[in-house]
Amino acid sequence: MIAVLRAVGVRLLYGIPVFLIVTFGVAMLAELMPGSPGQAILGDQGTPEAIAAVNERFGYNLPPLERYGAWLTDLFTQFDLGTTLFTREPVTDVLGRRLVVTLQLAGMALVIALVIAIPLSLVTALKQGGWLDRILNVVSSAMLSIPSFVSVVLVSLVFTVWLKAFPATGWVPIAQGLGDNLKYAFLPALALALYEAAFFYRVMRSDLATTLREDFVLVARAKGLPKWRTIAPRHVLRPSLTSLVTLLGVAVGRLLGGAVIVEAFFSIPGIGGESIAAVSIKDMNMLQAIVALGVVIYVVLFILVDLAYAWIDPRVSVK
Amino acid sequence: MLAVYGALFYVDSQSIVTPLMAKSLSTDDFKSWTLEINEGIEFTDGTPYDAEAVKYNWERAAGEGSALTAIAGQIASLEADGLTLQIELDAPNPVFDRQVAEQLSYIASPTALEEQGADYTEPVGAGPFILDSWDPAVGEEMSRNPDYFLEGKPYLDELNFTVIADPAQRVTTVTQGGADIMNNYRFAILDVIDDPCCASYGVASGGLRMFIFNNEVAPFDDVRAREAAALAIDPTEMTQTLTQDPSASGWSGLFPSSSNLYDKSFDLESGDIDAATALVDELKADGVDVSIKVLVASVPELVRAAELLQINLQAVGFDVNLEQIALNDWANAARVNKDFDITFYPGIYDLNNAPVSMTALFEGGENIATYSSAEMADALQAAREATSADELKAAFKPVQEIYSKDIPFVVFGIDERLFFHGTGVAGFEAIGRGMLLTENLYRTDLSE
Repeated sequence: MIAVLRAVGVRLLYGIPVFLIVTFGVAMLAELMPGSPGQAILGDQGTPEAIAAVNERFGYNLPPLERYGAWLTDLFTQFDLGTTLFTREPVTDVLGRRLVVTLQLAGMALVIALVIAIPLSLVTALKQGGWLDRILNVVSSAMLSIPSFVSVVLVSLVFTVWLKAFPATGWVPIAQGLGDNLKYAFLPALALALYEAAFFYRVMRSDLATTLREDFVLVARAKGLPKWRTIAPRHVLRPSLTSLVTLLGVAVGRLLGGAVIVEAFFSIPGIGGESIAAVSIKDMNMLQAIVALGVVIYVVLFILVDLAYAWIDPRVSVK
Repeated sequence: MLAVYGALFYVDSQSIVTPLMAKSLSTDDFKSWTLEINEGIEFTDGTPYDAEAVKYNWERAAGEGSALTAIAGQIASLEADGLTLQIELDAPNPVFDRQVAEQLSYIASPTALEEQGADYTEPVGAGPFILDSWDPAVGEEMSRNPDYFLEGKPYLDELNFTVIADPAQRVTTVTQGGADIMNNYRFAILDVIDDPCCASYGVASGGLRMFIFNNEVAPFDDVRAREAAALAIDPTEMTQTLTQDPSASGWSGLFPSSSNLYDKSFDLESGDIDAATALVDELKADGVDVSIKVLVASVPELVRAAELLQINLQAVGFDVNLEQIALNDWANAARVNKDFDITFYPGIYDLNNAPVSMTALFEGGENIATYSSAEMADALQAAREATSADELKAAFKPVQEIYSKDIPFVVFGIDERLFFHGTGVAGFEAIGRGMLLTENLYRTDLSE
């Protein structure tokens, strides 16, 4: 247990320079963006003098290094990420609201992807070379090669325009009814899940095929154990999960930070949609906070992935 | 803004300044104006909507860090007495009432402004709706103001605005019934305009589609270069490329044919490649560098038009570099930094309120071309001082003549904004540059 805690502590320490490098990089990159927060607030009618006055009022005229230093100090001394540009709400409040939505979408997308990928990969691994194996090989390749800005349109075309089964845009929080919430969440979650499902399927199919050639599987078969009820779920599935767990960690990070296109397309008030809004209105505090959150999520996920290896395969120890 | 604040005045679809919360704005000499406000209006926090409130707002608008300093800054003094406000301007301004209607009409509660200070994020007005929540990434939620000064209005209990970034999804959301109204241009809804689910309401004023020259730097500081670019294009081809509507027509006048101000004899000449090439050759022979940068906001329809312009201009001898920029950054690049030789006006330039809009376009806040002409300034002054339709028509004749001679920008089309809406909502009345009077909207699909 102490070894595990030490391992977690070391990984967290490694995360600190990553956090500083990434947030500093974003702060400097933001300086290269055309326009300014004052311009965003005042719009087209703002004179250069008025824009300069607004920038000065909110401290956006300070040198970037000084501003980054102040942001870092506020974060580590008061856990204060500043306020949003337009509504002047604490960034942590807005981020919290958005994160709940994105977490739900990511969770649903992962569940859908796993529900599709694991059974199908088991079936095709056990029936290698069969018609289903060949079809899914093609389908999964196609799904991996379709970018998300195309898949959202396809999903919307089928389920919204043709079948009229789901609303085109919008979001209903769980608090206002689970049924309505799922109705609005399903399509974006499905759009997110398609790529992940294909990715998971191909990795699982490959790992399962390798495991099936292991001696202990041969022994189990020789003992006459039932293939579908015992060998597949108990002897083959667990040792084949290592790659999937790594991918899960990366996928969760990708889904939490990278669902920008899907969220914007379906008008979902999550982290992705907020990222676009923050960039377009030059909301530096929000942008910085989203990136910081992304770093923290990835660091935590990779720690969890390392711990999961040890749980899946007792031969692996956490150092 | 109109839903929450209401308006002192608005410019109606016939370009007439119409009072709403105010009773009148009168003057004898265009320098001293008297504003009368309707009785019995209160902001939703109970503060009286009176001359003092208007004074407070206008003084704030003239202050540092305001987007309205140019308009409010012309006010020399304000004297409030109950529901009457005496206004003294720095100089006579015949269109002050129109400027008030367009830009100084939204009055916030002075109490709320005072309490919230620089972080004014919870707007309090006296309009038909109360803002319950807003989120730039999500939208706005409003509920009916039960004390709105027009009895019985508004008819709706709730009014919600939702941000939908994807244009196609906006249309689908309305056709599916997920939203009641969306605002766009006609070409954006051509595929569904005859869908029985929905109807459309066009904003009468319409507006110009145009590209603008940087009149301050070479090569477009030379009128021959501007003329060559105008001659190089076919307005109909440009409009059809932009709208993807093969039935669309181009336009090269400063006003639509439906306007009584329009004079056909001053349309820009276009589609003469040989003449355009000869002009560019002439420029080159004079040592003028004809390498140009076309700046365009990365909106699909504008990019299509800009790419066609690039082809047309290269065909007559210009060396064209096309640069795309995010829509939100276009204003800074084009208006502030003047980082272009040619740029496309994003969307349409509204024609409502011609004396004010043309003044802004040729010498005011919309003069992105940095055009300057004493002759045009005199013509516009005459247009602003016109007191009858005939005078206005006569005054705008030289404006069009000077435009066709100087060509500070090229108009290639006329378009209209429209509201695409479900059949369950009615009561549309657009004002100004296409805003809706939301207190008039009502549902037709409610059962008893």
